[in-house]
Amino acid sequence: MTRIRGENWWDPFGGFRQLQRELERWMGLGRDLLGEARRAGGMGYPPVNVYDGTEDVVVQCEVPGVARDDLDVSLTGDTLTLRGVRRPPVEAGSEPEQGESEQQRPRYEVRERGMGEFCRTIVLPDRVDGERVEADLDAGVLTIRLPKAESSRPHKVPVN
Amino acid sequence: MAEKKINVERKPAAEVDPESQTVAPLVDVWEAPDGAVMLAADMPGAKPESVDVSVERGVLAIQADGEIEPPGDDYSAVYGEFAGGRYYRAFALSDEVDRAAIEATLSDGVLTVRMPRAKAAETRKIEIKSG
Repeated sequence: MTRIRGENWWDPFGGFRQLQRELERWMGLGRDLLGEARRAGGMGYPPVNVYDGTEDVVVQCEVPGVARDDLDVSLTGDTLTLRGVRRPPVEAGSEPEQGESEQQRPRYEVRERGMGEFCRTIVLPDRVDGERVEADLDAGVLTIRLPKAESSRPHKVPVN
Repeated sequence: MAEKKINVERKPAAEVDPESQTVAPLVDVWEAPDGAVMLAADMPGAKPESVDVSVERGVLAIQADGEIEPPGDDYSAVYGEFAGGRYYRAFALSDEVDRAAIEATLSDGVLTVRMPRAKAAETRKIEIKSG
């Protein structure tokens, strides 16, 4: 990348940089992960990081603004399903009732944050023990620890 | 999760190293029923102590560190779609905003800034006297 096309060149257009980032996120450009992402479930929402360790598999998901009660995590075999809903930032008491006019809804000036229901399935890199899965939500990041099934852990084979 | 109040400082924003990579958080801006301007910014991984909200010369700057760490050294990344980083974004404030009354809270990785309208900016009905 030449100097003029470096990050500094883009700075007056912060929005473009954001767009570029979003496009990269969607298309997997700049990262050789598109194939992996397809296997993971196609770069949907929420974005995920999957780490494979010796004892467990760790999945991180970016879900800012999603309440604990609005998240549903389930495991079927080696497929992890994340379901949830991201609710729009409506102030208490201003939620439009049925029959209320459009004017009583909040007037958005900028609306970049996607809202609504989401569902994403992730194929895990190894077999896990579904009974001992732990999920923790902190600062808008959901971390799921899935201990590996006994049969997937490395076993030392004694040599006679 | 509990909301955490963020101190809004009337000072120049903490300096941003121009060489450093910052990430512009996605935001929503809307008008509350009482006329206040509301801003919500997605800052996943941001802890209250790293959030910096400042107002100076009509510019609102929001910054935070998105702390997203790998679980450990002996893990290999299978899929990687997001990473932490320094969040930074600045906005020009309308003159109608009461600078001294701006409040900010952090909850579940979302920074919410409430900017009440100054009294003088509220719509007043001006009576026309017949003369």
